[in-house]
Amino acid sequence: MNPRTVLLAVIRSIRLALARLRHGRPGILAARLAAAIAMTETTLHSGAGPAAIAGTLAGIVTWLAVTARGDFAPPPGR
Amino acid sequence: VSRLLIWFLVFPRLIRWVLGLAAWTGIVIAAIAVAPVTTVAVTGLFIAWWRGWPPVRLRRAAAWSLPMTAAWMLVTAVTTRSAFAVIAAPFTSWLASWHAFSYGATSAAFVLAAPVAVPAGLLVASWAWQLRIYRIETGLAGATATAPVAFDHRQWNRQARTATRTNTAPGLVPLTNRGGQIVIGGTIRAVGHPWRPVLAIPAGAMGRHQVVIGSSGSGKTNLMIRTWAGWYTATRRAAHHGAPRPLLVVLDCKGGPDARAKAARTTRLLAAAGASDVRVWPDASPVSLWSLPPRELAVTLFQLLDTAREGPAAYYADVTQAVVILAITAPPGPPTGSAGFLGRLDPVWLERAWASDWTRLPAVRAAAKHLPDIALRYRTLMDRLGPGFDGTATLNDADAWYLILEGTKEPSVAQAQALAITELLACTATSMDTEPRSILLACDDYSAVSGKVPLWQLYERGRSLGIGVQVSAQSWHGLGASDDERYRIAATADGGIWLMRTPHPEPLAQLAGTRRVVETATKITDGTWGDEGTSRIQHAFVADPGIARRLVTGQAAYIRSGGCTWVHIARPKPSPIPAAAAPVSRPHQSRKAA
Repeated sequence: MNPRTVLLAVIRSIRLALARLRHGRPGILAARLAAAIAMTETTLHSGAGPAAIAGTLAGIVTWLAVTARGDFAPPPGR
Repeated sequence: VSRLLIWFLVFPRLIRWVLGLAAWTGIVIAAIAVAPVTTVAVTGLFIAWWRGWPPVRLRRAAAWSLPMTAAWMLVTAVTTRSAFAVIAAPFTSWLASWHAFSYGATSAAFVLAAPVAVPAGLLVASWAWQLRIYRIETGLAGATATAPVAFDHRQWNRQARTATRTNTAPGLVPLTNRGGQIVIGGTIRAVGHPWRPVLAIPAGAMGRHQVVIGSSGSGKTNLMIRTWAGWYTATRRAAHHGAPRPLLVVLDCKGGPDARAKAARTTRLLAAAGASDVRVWPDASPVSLWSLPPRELAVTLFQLLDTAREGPAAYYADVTQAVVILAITAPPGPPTGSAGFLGRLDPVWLERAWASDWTRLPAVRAAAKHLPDIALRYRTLMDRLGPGFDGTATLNDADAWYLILEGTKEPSVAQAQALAITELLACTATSMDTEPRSILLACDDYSAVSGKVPLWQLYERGRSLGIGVQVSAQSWHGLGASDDERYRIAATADGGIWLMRTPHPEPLAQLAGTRRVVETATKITDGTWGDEGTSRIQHAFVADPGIARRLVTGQAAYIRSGGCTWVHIARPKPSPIPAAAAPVSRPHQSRKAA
């Protein structure tokens, strides 16, 4: 695939995501992100082993991905 | 006697009490031993109770937390390169967690335990919550005999609150979801249907027949507008992949200022959903009745008049029909407007038009003496119908039509208009010369105009023409004139029944069917609830009519396939981001070409 096309597609996706966020619930998403960052920070500085840290981080990312969907406005055409 | 009393009364109770104490002690010890799992389970249980979640939601949360377990095991496998270490990891992590906790490193203890404790705890919570609900519902638990009722009432309130909160998340309630289903709103409760946080119905369900029953102020309009916009969006998206373009025809049968406000709202919403041409009839855009094929036009014009079907007066009905056929099918071709049609109801014009046809001329001469009366009746009818049918547009010209019939102010006119519109729609659906369209006919309060075309007839006609028909009524009795008609309509609503607040929901609840429940009766001894009782299987309504009666504005039951989902309808709002793709339009592709 043409790198220019890929770049354009990426730029378009980012612009769309930003527009969806602007029309969604940016405040609540920010609170969610803050909570995720705080949990990540706590996890990284917990002193637990790499496996437990990786697992907990995977959990935080999954939680963020699943719950943040509602904070974005629907994409065009929906 | 005292020995017997001790042996048969005190001793069994003592044994039971000791066994119970031992069991609870064991449970407490186990709960302390697996404290991280217990903590997650108790938290999950509390959240489920507080937010009215069903147990399945906890199970799904447990499934969603499995990636953390997978990542944890994967990194363990990579770092230790030992299968035994991976198998033993839950135990070693548990030990390490306790060790960290005893040293005061709480966060390390949590992180070490989380990959196993979170999914396991949520699963335990789901099981415990299911058990609690079962015990309460069947009367096995609860301090009083009314405990199941109070529990259900409180849970309903919590579930309704959660559903309302779900609707505030814009990403959860778009008009359609990723799979092209029409999103309705946050689920309150599902009985006999699989539970989803948000109710979404297949767009195909709108292509069949739907019934909406709800009294004034129950949120019926909001629901209908959401389903129209959702259907339009889903069908428009399907049209990008070669399916027919959508054509939405809304009949607002009450009329009045409210209808104008609803039309404006629907127009705005559909425009935002991608409809480039939404027309409001008769205010903004007249339609051409005269575009009907001559035979159909003649039949429709005849049906618009109120004529006797039996007795001596039926003679005049036959004469009128013969005259209308002669006027419409005359050799110069059908008229293009009401003025042209009225001009033909003249003996001289008709005789000239049919002068070359010796077989028809005697009929023209025989009817000549009745022509002034017939012309007078049609002149009156056309005046009452107004200029709404003298336009040049056909229904196929637009993406959506919002047709306002003054069913409250002028019922007889609105009935005639409804008849003409259904004929135009039938012509649009069957015409071989125009582009095939996917059609949804939505009739709001159709009972106000059902005089000439009864609802069941509209339903059956829609079915035979492949048109989806959605009808709404304010009550069960508004669906038809007799119970036979009402059941004929409701029982064939294979796209589903929407039941909103109404004082008489029983017939629709009966159509939803029953489910088997356990009913427990407890024996009363000396004025208190004893510890003996009986249980039996009973049938209970899937769609509880008691709930339907006390629904608040915006709440509805979606009844389909023997199940019922209670839902809070989200206010319809299309994506605020403009679509980059141009609207689909294939105006020149006829059905023949297709």
